[in-house]
Amino acid sequence: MRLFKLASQLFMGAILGIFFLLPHTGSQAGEPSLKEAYFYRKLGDNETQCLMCPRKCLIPEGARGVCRNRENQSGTLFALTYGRPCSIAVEPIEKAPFWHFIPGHKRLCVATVGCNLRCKYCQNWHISQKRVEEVRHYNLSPEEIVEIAKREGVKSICFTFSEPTAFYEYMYDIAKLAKENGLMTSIVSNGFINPEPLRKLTKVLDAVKIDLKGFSEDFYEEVCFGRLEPVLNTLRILKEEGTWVEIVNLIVPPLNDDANEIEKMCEWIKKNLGDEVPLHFIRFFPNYKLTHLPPTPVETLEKAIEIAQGVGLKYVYIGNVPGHKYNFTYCPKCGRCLIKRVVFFLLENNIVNGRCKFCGEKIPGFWGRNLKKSRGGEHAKTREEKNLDFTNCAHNTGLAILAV
Amino acid sequence: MFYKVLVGNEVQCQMCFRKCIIPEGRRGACRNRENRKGKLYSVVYGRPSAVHIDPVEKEPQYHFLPGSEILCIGTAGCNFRCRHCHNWHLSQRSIEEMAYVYDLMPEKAVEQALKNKIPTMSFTYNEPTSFYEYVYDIAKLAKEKGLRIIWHSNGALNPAPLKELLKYTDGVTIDLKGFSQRAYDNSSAELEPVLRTLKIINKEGKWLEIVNLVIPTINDDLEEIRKMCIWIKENLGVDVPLHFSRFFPAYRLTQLPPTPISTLEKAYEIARKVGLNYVSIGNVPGHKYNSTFCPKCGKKLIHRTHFMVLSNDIEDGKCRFCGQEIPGIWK
Ligand code: SF4
Ligand SMILES: [Zn+2]
Ligand SMILES: [Zn+2]
Repeated sequence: MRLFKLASQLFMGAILGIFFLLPHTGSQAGEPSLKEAYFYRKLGDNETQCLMCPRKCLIPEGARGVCRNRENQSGTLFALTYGRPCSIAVEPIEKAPFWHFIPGHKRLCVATVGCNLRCKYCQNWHISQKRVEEVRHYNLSPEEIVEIAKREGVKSICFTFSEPTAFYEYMYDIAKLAKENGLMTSIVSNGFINPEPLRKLTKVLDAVKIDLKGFSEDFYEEVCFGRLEPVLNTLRILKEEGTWVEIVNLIVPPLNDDANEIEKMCEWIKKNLGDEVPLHFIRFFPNYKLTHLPPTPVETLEKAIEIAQGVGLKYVYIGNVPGHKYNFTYCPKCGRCLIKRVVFFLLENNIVNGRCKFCGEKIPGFWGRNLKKSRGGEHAKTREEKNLDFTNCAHNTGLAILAV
Repeated sequence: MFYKVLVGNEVQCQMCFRKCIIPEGRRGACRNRENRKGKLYSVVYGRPSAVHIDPVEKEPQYHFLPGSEILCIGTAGCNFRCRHCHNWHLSQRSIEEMAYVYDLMPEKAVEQALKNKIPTMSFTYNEPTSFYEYVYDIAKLAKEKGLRIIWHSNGALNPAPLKELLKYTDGVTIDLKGFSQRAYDNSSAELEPVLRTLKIINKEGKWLEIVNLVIPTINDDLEEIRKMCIWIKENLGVDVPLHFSRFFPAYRLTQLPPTPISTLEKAYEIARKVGLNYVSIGNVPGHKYNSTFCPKCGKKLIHRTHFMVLSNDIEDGKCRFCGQEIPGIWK
């Protein structure tokens, strides 16, 4: 209860503290020139086929792909939102949620408009389901983004809020530059991307959070207008490439709360990705086109936790329920509490050198001090992070506001 | 038929594997299905661009009323982008770009067949999936009038529309454009949905023949052809006729040579060795394997030269010489 109060106080502070890091430069700074898309082919008669995501849109002259971000102009495909982010914010990494990725560190979040799915419950539809013309945006080159990251003193850059696959070129160029400048990188994605661009991307990424939205083709088809299989394929590839992955499963009763389905999902994860992948069950709040549904009962989430533990997954969490005991990380060996979080704040961290302070069990993830897993992480600070001052929280993700 | 409405008047077409999400005012990849204020319309319904009378051998259907005529209907549009397309002036254009557009509503089309005493109507030249509603209405009507229905397709439509159309279908010819994703990249399409379609047609008990156009460097790998034949045998059985067809330079693949006849003959041998009973070579007029042979006694059953039937020794669906039953639609 005490924690809860503290959390809401901090949260009010955060909300009041919302401000944009930069003024919107709009057109006065001059629109950046157009960037040619990666991963597409020209078919002749000025038609193009985008090869970025499993939709493989056929895009005739003058039209855009389903994500609304890729436009064919005279037979060349352009990434329309390159250099045009609509959201820039500094947030705690916990909010992603990344809970095994240098706890408590601040990340710079970058997003443009656009998404290749059409989830009926989208929490960020006001940017994901819009065209670049419909949303105010900054004009910022990858160099400028990395400059901002350094100036703000963040450890990592995270591509999130909308779907990074939809602004791949921008993300890739920033991530590459960020790595060269000693920053870490992560994305929050629906995983609906083709193998080739994905593999290229993993070379410049440290961590990936995948929304596994359900575990049936029907759910993907009916609620997200996408497909499950390519997402599973993405997870397999990430495992193969050795990229750090955390999985989020938003439970929306009655659409994807079937216990059998959750069990199948957990088993699939264990079999294909191992038992150490953190799995976050997230509480749904009515949104977008699903306002008629009630929020997920906390018992449903707890039931899911039981199922996942029964299957043998070691790190399972409940998200979007502030103060719940499954916001914490427990040692799978000695059972002690390793990381205490409230909402997105880190309160206590008992992981030392990547191990449980009490029993020495190795805990998978990036832990700041022991950066063996990190490929470019020698820059990471070694002091213990207890970062409670984040007045820079800009741009809500819906999730945050609702959690108050 | 077959689409969903999303937010903001967007629609998602459910007809083929692409499942295009189509914003207002736009058309799907096939260029035939247009979103007007949140409703999806077929812009080629009742407006064919090709109407011809052909021999059924041209479809090709070799086990389907040999030597009979079919009334063939095609429109603009296709959901594939085959670089070798022989009918690109129809398939790779929109209706506005057609040299001819006829006004032929389903009743009229069926009337034409009846008037000319043509037993079968066929949907071919371009992709029937892209003018599905028109096909469906004609097929339904034609069946009532005792006509037969066949169609020639790339097979990439979804199970629901497929099953619905099969109710009013007698025979199907499917182009299997290769047996690897690489081969299907040449068409900007995917293999998996086509295999799914083949299985469904087979399961529903409709007469099925498969065409494999062999294109040098694109899909002429003999190992791949062997794999394809094995897949056919295991999933569809040995009685499904398989036509290896010769490629001639066309459209965007004019830089390639025509398929060497020896390649086709090698493919033939492979298919026979795998155990397929009815294999033929197409697009090579006068070739021995234009004809159909009895898998039991080896005698020539249907003698064809190109699309012409010279003799037919199938009686009551059986080999006249040895009595072997030959699957197909013979009367
Ligand atoms: S990234 Fe966009 S344009 Fe490309 S295939 Fe996916 S939805 Fe279509
Ligand atoms: Zn321990
Ligand atoms: Zn015989």
